[in-house]
Amino acid sequence: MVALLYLFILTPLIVYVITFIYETYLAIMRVKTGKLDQGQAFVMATWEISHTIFVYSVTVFIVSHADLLPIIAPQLLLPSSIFIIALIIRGTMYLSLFYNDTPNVKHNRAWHAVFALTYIIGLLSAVWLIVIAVLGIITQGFVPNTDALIYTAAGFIPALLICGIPIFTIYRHQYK
Amino acid sequence: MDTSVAGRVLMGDSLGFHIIIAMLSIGIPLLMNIFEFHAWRKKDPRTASFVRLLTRWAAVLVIAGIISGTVISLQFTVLWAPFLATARPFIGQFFALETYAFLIEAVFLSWYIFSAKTMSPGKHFLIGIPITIGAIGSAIFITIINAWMNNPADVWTTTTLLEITHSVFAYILATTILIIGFVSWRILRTKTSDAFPQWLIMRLGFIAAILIVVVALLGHQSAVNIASTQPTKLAAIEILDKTQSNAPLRIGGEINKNGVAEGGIVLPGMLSILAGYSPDYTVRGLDEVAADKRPSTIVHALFDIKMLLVGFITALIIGILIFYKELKRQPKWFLYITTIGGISGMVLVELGWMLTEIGRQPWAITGKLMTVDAFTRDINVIHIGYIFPILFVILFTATGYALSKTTKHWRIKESIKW
Repeated sequence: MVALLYLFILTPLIVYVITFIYETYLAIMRVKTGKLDQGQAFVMATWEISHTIFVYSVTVFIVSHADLLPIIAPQLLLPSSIFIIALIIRGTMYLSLFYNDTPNVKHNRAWHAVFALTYIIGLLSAVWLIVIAVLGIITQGFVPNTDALIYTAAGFIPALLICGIPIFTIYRHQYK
Repeated sequence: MDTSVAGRVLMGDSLGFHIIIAMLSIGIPLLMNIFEFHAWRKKDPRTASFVRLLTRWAAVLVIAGIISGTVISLQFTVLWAPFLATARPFIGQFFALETYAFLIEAVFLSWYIFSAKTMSPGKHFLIGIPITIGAIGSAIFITIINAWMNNPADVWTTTTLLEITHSVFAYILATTILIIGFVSWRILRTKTSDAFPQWLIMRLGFIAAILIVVVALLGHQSAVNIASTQPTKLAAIEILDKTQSNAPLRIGGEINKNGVAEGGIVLPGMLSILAGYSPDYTVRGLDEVAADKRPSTIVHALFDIKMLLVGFITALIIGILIFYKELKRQPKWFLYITTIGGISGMVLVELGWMLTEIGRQPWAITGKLMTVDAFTRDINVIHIGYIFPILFVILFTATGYALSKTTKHWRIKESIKW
């Protein structure tokens, strides 16, 4: 049961990290041109989905590791604060840059540099958070609670079936 | 400032922002569905064009919602760890299920946007429905958690049912009123009604009229429920100092230093009638709990303001319906009132949320866990906490900027084929 639980936590986390790294690469590429055309469509389609997957992973972790949290929470404050600050700045810039009425406009490259930097800071702080959580689990010999796993597993199959077609269609559309 | 108070302020800032996004994320998809169905069946290109605008807004709001939602989940984990440890056996599954609902909303919205020009109107309408189901589902699961915090007797109680229905319908109502306000402001600003014709205000006004009746009835029923399940909250909201039958309803007024209610307009027996349908009904007062276990009576002032806004919005909706013919000319005075009215719906939602949360204090989970004990020990957010409200203001501004950009060049397109 514990192995299955970690499958539900780690799989979306890995998917998120992969998409995050790719988005980071695109953000860095945009610094060179100052234009949005480099991978713009990919980000427009997947930003919402990849971040929702991350929240999913965090939620499953919170629910199953609730008893561990009071012990490791003070250590999580700094990296989570950095992650949040980077996320809000990135989100603000994303809305400002990508929801502009003139998408082909050439922006000041400094904006794209800051945008890319928030990705890098976000990625580093996310890794920091994961390391603290893993160390906490190991040093405390913590066994996660799997009571809610049945709901997670039961919800996963219909959610996958419901979301599978739209996700497939969106990604196919992007790579046409 | 005490660290737990700082933590509450920080969490309050985040939730105060997020609730507006959540409200719009529920209301806009439902209005999209209603108007798209109308456009499809009546082959009405003007309504179809309006649906396109709502879709753009929904896309921006989902982005803002994802950011604030992620922030809240992380802040919750770090700042309220003891709360999660206590509440997990009761509410853990709803956190898990909420994410699925939100995933469905986000995925289908992406599909909905990308297929707008390629899919048949009927199919496009159908793939819009899961967006609303996901948004409402997400709200239901989170509200279940909040209802349990208010009344932890069980997860499924009358409190749960009333809190879900009252808040979801109120979100839809507030969104409808906000859009009426926006349309009015846009007509005033552009000095033309080409883009947002009068029929739009009428149709939204009709939807709002149905909703306000439903919300009022559910609100009253919630008050009746609170009288029996959360009597201290009701006593603070109505500043009822002593347990009594024939309890008065007090508009305005305050609790003095001796703990006695004074001032304001007093309607004898009205609180007993409203809470128990009889003047003989005994309403429990603040004297039943120790002073340090009572919520702040600021909730009384918040409730009075809320009721004032409810009256204003009701009058506004009645005005739209009664003066239908007059409104065809779109008089300026009316557009100014509806513009202000649009903002009041949003304020109403904020006040409702504040009443629920402040009214429950000093408990995080009524009778089970004090708020001070729900906060993570050995953590200090006082110094770092100030940055987040500033960032949320910036995010809120960026969201408004993106919404205005998506709206700026939008026009009714008669050429859309359905």
